[in-house]
Amino acid sequence: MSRQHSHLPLAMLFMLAWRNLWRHRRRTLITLSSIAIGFGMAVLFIGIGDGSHNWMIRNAIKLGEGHITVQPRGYLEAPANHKFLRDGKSVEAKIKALHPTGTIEPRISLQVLASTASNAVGAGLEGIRINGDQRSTMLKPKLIDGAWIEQGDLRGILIGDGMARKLKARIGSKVVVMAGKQGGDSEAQLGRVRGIFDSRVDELDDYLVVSDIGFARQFLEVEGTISDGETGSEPVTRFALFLDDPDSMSMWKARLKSAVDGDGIVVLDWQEMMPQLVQFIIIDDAGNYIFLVLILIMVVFGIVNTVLMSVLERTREFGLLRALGISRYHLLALVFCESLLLSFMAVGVGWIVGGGTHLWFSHFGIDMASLMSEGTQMMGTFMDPVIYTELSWGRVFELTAIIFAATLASGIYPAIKAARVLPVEALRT
Amino acid sequence: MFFRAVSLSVFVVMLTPFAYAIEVDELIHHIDRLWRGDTSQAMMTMTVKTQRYERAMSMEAWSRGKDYSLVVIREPVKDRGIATLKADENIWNYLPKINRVTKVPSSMMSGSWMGSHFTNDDLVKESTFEDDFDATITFEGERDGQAVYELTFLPRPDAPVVWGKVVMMIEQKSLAPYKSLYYDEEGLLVRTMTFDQFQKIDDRTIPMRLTLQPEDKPEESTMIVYQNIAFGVPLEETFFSLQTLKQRR
Amino acid sequence: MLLFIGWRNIWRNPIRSALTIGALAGGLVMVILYSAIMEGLSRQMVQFATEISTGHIQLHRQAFIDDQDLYATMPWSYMEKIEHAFSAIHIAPRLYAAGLASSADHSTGVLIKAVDPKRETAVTRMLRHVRFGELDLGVADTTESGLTRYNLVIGAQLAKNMKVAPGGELVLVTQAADGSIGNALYRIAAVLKPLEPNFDRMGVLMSIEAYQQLMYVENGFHELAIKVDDTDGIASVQSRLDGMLKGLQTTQPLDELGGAPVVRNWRQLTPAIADMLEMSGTIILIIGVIVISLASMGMLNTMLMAVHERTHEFGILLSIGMKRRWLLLMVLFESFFLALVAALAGSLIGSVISVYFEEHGIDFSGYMPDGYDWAGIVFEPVMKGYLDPVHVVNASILMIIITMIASLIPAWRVVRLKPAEVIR
Repeated sequence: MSRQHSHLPLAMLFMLAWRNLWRHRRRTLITLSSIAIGFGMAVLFIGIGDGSHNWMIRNAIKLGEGHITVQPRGYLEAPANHKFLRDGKSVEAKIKALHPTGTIEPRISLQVLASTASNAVGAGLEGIRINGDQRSTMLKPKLIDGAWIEQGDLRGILIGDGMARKLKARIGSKVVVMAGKQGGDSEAQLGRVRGIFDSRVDELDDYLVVSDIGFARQFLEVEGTISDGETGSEPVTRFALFLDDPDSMSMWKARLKSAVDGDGIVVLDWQEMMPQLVQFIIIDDAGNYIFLVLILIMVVFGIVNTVLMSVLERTREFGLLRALGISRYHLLALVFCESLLLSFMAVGVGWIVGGGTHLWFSHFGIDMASLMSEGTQMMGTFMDPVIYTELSWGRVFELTAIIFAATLASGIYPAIKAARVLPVEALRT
Repeated sequence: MFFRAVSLSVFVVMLTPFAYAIEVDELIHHIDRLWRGDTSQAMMTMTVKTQRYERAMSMEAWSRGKDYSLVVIREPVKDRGIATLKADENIWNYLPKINRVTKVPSSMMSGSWMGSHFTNDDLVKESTFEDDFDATITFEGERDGQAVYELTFLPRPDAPVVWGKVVMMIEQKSLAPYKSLYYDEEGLLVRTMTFDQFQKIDDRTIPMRLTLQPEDKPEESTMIVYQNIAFGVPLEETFFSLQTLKQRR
Repeated sequence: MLLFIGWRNIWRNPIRSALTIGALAGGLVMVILYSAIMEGLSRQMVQFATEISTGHIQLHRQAFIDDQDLYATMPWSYMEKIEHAFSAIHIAPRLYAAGLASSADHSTGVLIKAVDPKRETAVTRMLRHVRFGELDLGVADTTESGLTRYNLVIGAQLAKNMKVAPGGELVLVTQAADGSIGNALYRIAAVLKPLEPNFDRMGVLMSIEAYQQLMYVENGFHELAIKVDDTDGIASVQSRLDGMLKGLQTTQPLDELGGAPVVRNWRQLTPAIADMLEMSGTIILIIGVIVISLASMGMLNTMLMAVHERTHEFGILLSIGMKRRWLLLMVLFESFFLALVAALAGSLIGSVISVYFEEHGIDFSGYMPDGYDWAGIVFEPVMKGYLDPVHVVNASILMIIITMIASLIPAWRVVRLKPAEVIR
């Protein structure tokens, strides 16, 4: 900044600043440590925040309907059995023609009545590709009795232990599944219990019936064929698209939109499918930012305090320097350089501490299960109870910039203060 | 009809498996037409006894084939005019108080019909009974002090019915059924229907009273008593319409 | 004397003292603010979990809990006795039934809930969450055929699914308690905002009077929701109620089929929510420890430095013959004064900000007019703080203690040295 009218080369200035910093080793170390700890906290905190959000999103997508969902228009607002994609086959062909990098899962969801000789209960039937769908890999380990439905078994169903108890059903039991259709007609099919699962989530164990998509399709085909006589159109409720690379979602969404979006079909991403999750994350992010601001304020406070104090204490020294003919600008530059060096070191040390904490937790994670009491099932057992902190490069830059700017900004006032020192007065004290 | 609808139907209705002895076919055919004929009209009372309430209703019923029936409540006054129409697998109720027809949705199929131990689904199942069950005569001879046939109905493998089997006892001489037993898949008796007060109408011996007894609630029952029943009444298919449902009160 | 010197010392170097006070007060403000936000958040969560529809305590019969047995009622006299026996509670009786609702072209299964509007308003905010229409559960009108139409209030998603709006008509059909078909016409008076996901999708709210005419359940209620004025007294009310019900059962026995009356508090009623609150509580605690330790670090640093810088001065004091313990005491007084001033300033500023936050909150209603739904509770879109004076006092005391420890460490080091060394 002052190269033109400087007798002091920039390198010299930095050298001086560096020496000055280490003249008061204890103070510098204290300052650095408080900045580093604050910074480490911020990194850890943001890492936990982002990590848990991404964790929730990943789980929700895994449990839900994929990154992108293709389903009948209006289904999201008011789900109904009679809303389905009549011509599932051609929609699937259209999606496949785009060659999305991921998996496409056809699924059928129906509200049904499941009854046995002893009882009848309302249930949700989920028809999936029984040996391919993500859900099958999640549910398989939860089987407590019987076996998974075999390929081509169009009678087999899986129910939860809660429903099994209510229906007094066992492996091999008959369960009549009845689904309502448009206009109030109903269609009944016989299901046979092949397996009983215990997901530890009561809502699922009491309510969910899983079958091969072929079984569920029997309810749709009856309705579909009556109207237009087509067979083999493979109706489905929706296609769930799981992308290999979540970042490519908006691109695939746009492509799918132009390919299949129309009167009866809508393409939705997970944000649109799960608005509550998005809302929750907004709220939680707001809370995190408030907390981050608190940390930053404290960090800045610490820096201003030490730098200012060091300047005040060195009034005499500055006076001497001024008397020796060093210009105000040089003094300003000198103090500013000290702040700058301090900032660099703070960021450096901060990243060593913060990055270290982050690496630790991103590797070992934080076990949420241990924070919850026994029997807590809110998260369900489908979810990995361990949260790993995550830090994107964007966050790294953001944090570095904030801390750097804050440290630097906190050096401005002391620098001005130092430059204002009047040599005569300063020396008198 | 009600009766047919509800009870009969459930047990027997016309199964027509060709592979069985002629006797089975005959028997089934006989029983199927027992309360129904081609068309029928009947007056009956239904008494429902539960742990919580007792309720008696008198009603009038019409039926045509196995697919159509209409029941209208005559007594008590509070419920007078409430009517149930069954056409194929659909059930509608007419509610005179609010002058509305409501269709019974699939979610309500397991609900009780008029507070009795019959469900709406029992009414519907009549239409599909023959498609759902195979029948065989599993016993022939002396039992309960009389000569009987025991008919066993086994659901076809893929038929959407909850029962494991249904067993019906028929008295040989009159060919009148006197007991039906409903089992679940484990072979556990779930409910019993008994028939008595036999009466001869048009050469047929018809039990005029039937009692449904759920096994898990021994103190509960639903009893239907026919005051009269007439067969071969001229009733067109159009009679069983929403229009009639509203007007027949 | 030492007190006086301590006080004077502070003002000898006003800028440094101001800085120190500023740093200490700043840390305190942060801690107060954080605890206000978190306390507000957890209070809000409990509030949303209880005030919307659950209440603090509920009373049911076992058979109702097990399978919503329509007949598992408790007599009205029970309610009156409970009302007389407790002073600082509000109670609201409720009745439930399943039914079929039909509009012009849609019909769907619904959950009928009957409340006493006057009592309900004192216990929960359910009836205040109107989105459209005007809340009214009275008689709407009489049809030409002389049929009384009552007003109904329904859930938002149900209104959407049935394509109905306030002013529209709804038919309810159900099986009444006497086995007959209960049926009636209703006028939709209002649509409620989402309260809980289930009610939103299939809830129909009516007055107890309307319910009794539909269902013929006249001799009692299914559920009694209780709001306890002092939330700390929930446990004692629960156990007293338990005892009282045992007594009532002997003097006024209930039928056997419905099972025994069961008193449960909101944690037992909504375990998932209680679990979630517990988890948030743990997280809040962890973060609180981070915030407090961060603030303490700041305070510690500030004091360490302030005292450390005066090593020279202390050396001189020692060499002119000041007793070591007096010096220590003086430093202690000094830092105590500093801390006191900082505590006053900090708690004042912190409280003012917190109170502002408590009154105004952070408003998210722009993003989400209905609030958000998490683990079965619907949250209001305004996040509010809650200032607990105890927290302010605790934070201040914590700050003062840390400050004094922080000043003692360098001071202790100084007094152990020989004056000559120190001065050099």
